[in-house]
Amino acid sequence: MSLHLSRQRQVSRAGALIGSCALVFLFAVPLYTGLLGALASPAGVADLRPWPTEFRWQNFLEVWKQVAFARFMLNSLFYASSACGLVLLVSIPAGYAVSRFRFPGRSAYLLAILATQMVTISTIIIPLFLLVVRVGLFDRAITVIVFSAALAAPFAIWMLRNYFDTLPPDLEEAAMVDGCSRLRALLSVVLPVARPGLAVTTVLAFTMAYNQFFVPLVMLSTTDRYPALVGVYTLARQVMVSWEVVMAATLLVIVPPLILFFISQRHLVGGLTTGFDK
Amino acid sequence: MGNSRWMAAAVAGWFLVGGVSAFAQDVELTICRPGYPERAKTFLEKALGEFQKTNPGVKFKIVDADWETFQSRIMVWVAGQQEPDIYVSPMQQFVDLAELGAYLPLDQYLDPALKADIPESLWWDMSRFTGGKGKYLSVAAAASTYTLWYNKKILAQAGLTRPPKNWDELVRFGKQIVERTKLPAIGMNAGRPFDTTQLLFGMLYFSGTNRPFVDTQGRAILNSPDAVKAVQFWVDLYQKHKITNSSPEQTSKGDLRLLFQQGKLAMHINNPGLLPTLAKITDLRSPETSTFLIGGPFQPSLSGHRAMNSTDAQQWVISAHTKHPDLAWKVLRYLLEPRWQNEHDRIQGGAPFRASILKSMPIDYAWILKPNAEEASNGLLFSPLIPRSGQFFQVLNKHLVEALLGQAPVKDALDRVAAEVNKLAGL
Amino acid sequence: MSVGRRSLVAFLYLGPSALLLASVFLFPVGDLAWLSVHDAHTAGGVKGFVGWAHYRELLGPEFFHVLRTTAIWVSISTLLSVAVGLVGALLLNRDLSCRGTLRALAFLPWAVPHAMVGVLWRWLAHPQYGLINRTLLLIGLVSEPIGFLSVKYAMATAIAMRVWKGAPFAILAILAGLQAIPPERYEAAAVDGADSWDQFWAITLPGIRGVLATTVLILAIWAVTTFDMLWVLTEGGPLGATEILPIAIYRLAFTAYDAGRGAAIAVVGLGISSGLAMLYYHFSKERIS
Repeated sequence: MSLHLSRQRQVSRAGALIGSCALVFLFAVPLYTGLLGALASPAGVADLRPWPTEFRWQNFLEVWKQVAFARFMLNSLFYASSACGLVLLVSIPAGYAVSRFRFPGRSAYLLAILATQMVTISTIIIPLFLLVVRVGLFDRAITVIVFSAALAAPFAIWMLRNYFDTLPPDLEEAAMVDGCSRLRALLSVVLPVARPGLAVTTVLAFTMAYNQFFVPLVMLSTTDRYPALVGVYTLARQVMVSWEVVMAATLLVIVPPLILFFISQRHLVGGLTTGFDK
Repeated sequence: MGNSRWMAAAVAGWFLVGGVSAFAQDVELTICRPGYPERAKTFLEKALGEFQKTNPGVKFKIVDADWETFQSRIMVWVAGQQEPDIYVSPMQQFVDLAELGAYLPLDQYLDPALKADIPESLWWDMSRFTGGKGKYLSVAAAASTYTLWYNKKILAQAGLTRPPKNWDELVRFGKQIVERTKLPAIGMNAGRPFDTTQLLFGMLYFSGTNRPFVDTQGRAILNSPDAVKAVQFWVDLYQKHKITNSSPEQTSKGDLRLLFQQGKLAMHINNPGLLPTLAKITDLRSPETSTFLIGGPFQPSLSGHRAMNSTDAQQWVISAHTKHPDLAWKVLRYLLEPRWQNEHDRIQGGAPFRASILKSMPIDYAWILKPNAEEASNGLLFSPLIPRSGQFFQVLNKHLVEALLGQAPVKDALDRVAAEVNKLAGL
Repeated sequence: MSVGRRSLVAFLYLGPSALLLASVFLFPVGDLAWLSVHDAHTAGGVKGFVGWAHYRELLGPEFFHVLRTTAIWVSISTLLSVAVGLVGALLLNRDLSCRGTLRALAFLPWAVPHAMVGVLWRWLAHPQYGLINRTLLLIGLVSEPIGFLSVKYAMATAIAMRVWKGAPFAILAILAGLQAIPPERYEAAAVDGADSWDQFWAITLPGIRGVLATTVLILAIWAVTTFDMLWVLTEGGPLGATEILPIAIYRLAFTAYDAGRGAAIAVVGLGISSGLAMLYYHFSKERIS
């Protein structure tokens, strides 16, 4: 009986392994094809084979020379880090207050945060655009930064609240007993301990801001203010597209969020599944 | 005490520096020649560099844009009042922008020499779009017609010594090419609204009907019996005779250019903008050395008349929001000098259309561009100057693709276009 | 601390975030309603009051097509994502030695920005140069390239792209749900003689019911609000084959420059995403207090 089961288990195990590998293989295909394109020459990119036939790694360097790619990446990093900073500035006190304080309107505030998820950027973009033009902030970095921050802030507030909830309140109570103001206690006692949660939130906010496409597409018009995502998009829809350049650029653009993703993977998994316990 | 003195000194120094830099500030003009960024940049840097030698206080910001980007951004740009001071306005939105008052009227600036040098058909009276507050809003930057280009090697492989000269031959030769070389005979694109009506469709429609899309009142005549015949012929090339590339509704004109350049397409309708692309592959200086040759519009037309072609024209404009209108005109007039216009045509791959250039200046690729220039003055303006022309092309393309894919009969599709277009025009 | 004092402190801590969020989310909603009853040109200003005219146009065939396209897009991509997610989670839940690496790789699509997903798939599905067509032609399975971005197949390609991006999330969520099921239940069932199929139906599925519901809703919300990857892939598809609600709004407002009509559609979109979000909160019973 046990021998029979063990063989059955072996077979099902092998099946699971094959299935998992097949799944991962399929998931890798689009990225693989990006790599194939990025490594091809201008002639080779029109004659693709399922396996790499050329290895023009210099395409990744040529991207920087051929198009204003350095400008695009610089813009992306600038917008993302500024937005991330704004998000943290706004969300840390908010998350902390919602976690620690009891005050009238607390539920209303939390409901309002949730409600922002019902309003999607594609629906409110028209009035936002008209407003931005009216106040003369069209085609400005600050516009993109503020909107990116506003889109990431609810998640950051929620995440930070959940995180602060896991920290015992005695932490700052102890400091306040010693004569510290709450703000001081927050800054000097709580935040250092909260570093893991802050790190995850920073990664989330940065990634969300970096991934913004729709907002810069609408709010910017000068090419050299475009973030990398919009820049690559304009490359891909030219009248005559150089696919090898576009693919190399695409892969380069994916690198920062990919790195951040892998670094924070463990923490991110933990942070997001807290919402799923029934 | 010492501290506040330092502060005062710092503040004073700040204002001093600020004031000096404000006075020494150069005037900056933004200029954009959309289309092919590398070519435009080459031309503008050269021309404006020369301009600056005699006008040192002027700084230029050259904005890069290919047509896709420019066409999709220009309205928003204008709404935000951020558009370049001097630019070439895309035909698709030319009238829309005029209706928005985006252009500076140029009536007071135009000189007789310039007016005489540019063909009459390229001076457009836009007063009905400005409510009479300005007649000439633009100056011609480029004008050319569409020609049949063919790959002589592929034709030879198919056993042909010359390109088709009329509609029957187009079908016959096309089938022979497909049969013997397995390559598509002629390029068809229907991927983007404005582009669809250029290239093959435009050649067939205009040379087949000898009429524009709308009459002088703006009423649609694109569903006349001649038009139905021409469009049906276009659809049949794909559906019935199968001599075009596959999936034309996903194919862009850029795709076709690449296919043609790579030798995967036998024939292709294009204007001389194709030249720089082909020049990378072959020596275009003479018919003997060039892989690619040109033929003319198919004669006679489908309706039996002498076939006419379509003229594609682009126009320079000055933004109505510019802070330096006189200077902007000075710069534009400089760029319009014959020697710079010639440079522009050479670098962009455009056919010459200025009388002074045609008369006395050397033209590269004369065997291609001279016939093209002759046809240009004979051609019909391809982009109608009608209200809401941007939407016109979207409506037209939508129904054309429906007919192309067999979702609607050609006559019905064109009738529907006519009805919607007349509605747009308020007729 | 008095209530008043507490409120003041809270106000100071919450103020900045409230200001940021209210100005970006709250103000436009009202403006949207106002715009939708006017004839407004995106670049040219408001032309006049038109009452219900825009909304009446929404009852026509054009908008119905957009709604239908959106419904197909949301339902099929969500269900497929969850299906793939379920299969993937079951596979990756097994005690395989390289499980960690496989999981990390399976989540790869999640890390790719939406707009770049669009670019990659546009390249993958390219009618002439894309890898799929090139491979099919090479093996000889087809004699002519397949138009993956044509009117017929664009939606299928887009859905495949959306599933590619969304399934990792479903895998993640369902995996967490699977791991929350106490293993004793399986052991007890095995003792009772149930085989793996029975175990799946009787223990696994009911155990992750809640997770499945919330995953479906989240994916549905993401689907209904997709813009980036779909716009980059097809810009609304040939002849509107992939024109879902957000794309219709953008196209109307920024290529046809009709801000009034765009606003009317946006109001409808608001209603739909709000409805889905409220459903989600009902199912997940998030802690609010």
